[in-house]
Amino acid sequence: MREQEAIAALIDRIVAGACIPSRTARDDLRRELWTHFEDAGASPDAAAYAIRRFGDESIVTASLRRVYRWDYLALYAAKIVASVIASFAAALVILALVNLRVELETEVWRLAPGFSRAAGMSLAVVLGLITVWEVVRRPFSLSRAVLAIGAYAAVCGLMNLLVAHSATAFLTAAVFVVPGYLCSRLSSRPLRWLLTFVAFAAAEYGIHVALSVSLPPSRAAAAGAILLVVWASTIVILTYADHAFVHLFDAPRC
Amino acid sequence: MEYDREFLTGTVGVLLLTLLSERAMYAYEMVQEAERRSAQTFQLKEGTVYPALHQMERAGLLKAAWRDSESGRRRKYYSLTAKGRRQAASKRRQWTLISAAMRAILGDGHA
Repeated sequence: MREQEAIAALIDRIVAGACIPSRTARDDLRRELWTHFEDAGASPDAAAYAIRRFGDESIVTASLRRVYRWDYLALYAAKIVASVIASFAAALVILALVNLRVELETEVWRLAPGFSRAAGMSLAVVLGLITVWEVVRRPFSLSRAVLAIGAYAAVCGLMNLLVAHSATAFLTAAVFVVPGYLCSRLSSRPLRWLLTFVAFAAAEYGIHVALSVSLPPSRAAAAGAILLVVWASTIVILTYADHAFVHLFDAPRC
Repeated sequence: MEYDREFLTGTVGVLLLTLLSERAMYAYEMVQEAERRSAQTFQLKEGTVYPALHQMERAGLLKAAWRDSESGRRRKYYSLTAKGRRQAASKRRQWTLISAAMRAILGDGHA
């Protein structure tokens, strides 16, 4: 009986470690491996021998993972793209709601003049947060970190070609993302959000001071609060995207 | 006789394609057949066969289908596609060439 349990556990570990995105393909592999061990013999001695003959579990798992690697990478890329689109959409909706104004004389709804600047900065912050999210993801992977930072730099360069001086927004975004991320590591949730808000408000104020642009502390606080909502919405979206991805593979290690 | 397992690296694909060029088989059957024909010289680590088969299936060399075996048990049978048959023939030619060259180098006494 113990051998049967050992076989079941071995098959489960191999199927989970193979990171196969399709449930049908996972069930198919599980069934195929079961038939293998059925063929190898039902007696305890035969089962133990079959496990030995099966070979190194980690080698088999890694080889299967290589077989399905491109499916995994394609889905991972799709997850990132979906996260970026959803986060951008959420940020734009939040900023549009905050910047919506009605002209009393004509009764026409318009976006405030500072909307495009605020939107550009928020999208850069969202992109920065997604980059950091991927860089620090556990287990740490140097190639993923380099790719994430490289992608951020590439978007920054591309945007600078399309919109003059937009690289400044991406560099400024780092001023928000770094303290925002450090605050997000705090275990106490109220303290985490309070400090993130203070960090964003202080960064808003500091950036304007550095640029010799006057910004009252109350407006810096309001801008910090809006950015905090955008930040929170992005974190919620990234968390859901991660859960959906893990659910897709039915294995937390993928 | 004990041998360096590195000699087997890269040959699993040829071996599986050649076996399947004769008839459809399931993975365990292929391992057993390879052992039997090689007079137990080829004792593959059985788990390594599955990644190779899945890789070849995804490359379009093999197709797989579940069906009843002679014993009545359901088995996943692999068979060659047209592309797989071409690949099997090509690999077989390459292997014949290489083994002939090796025999020539090693001499008849080692063949």
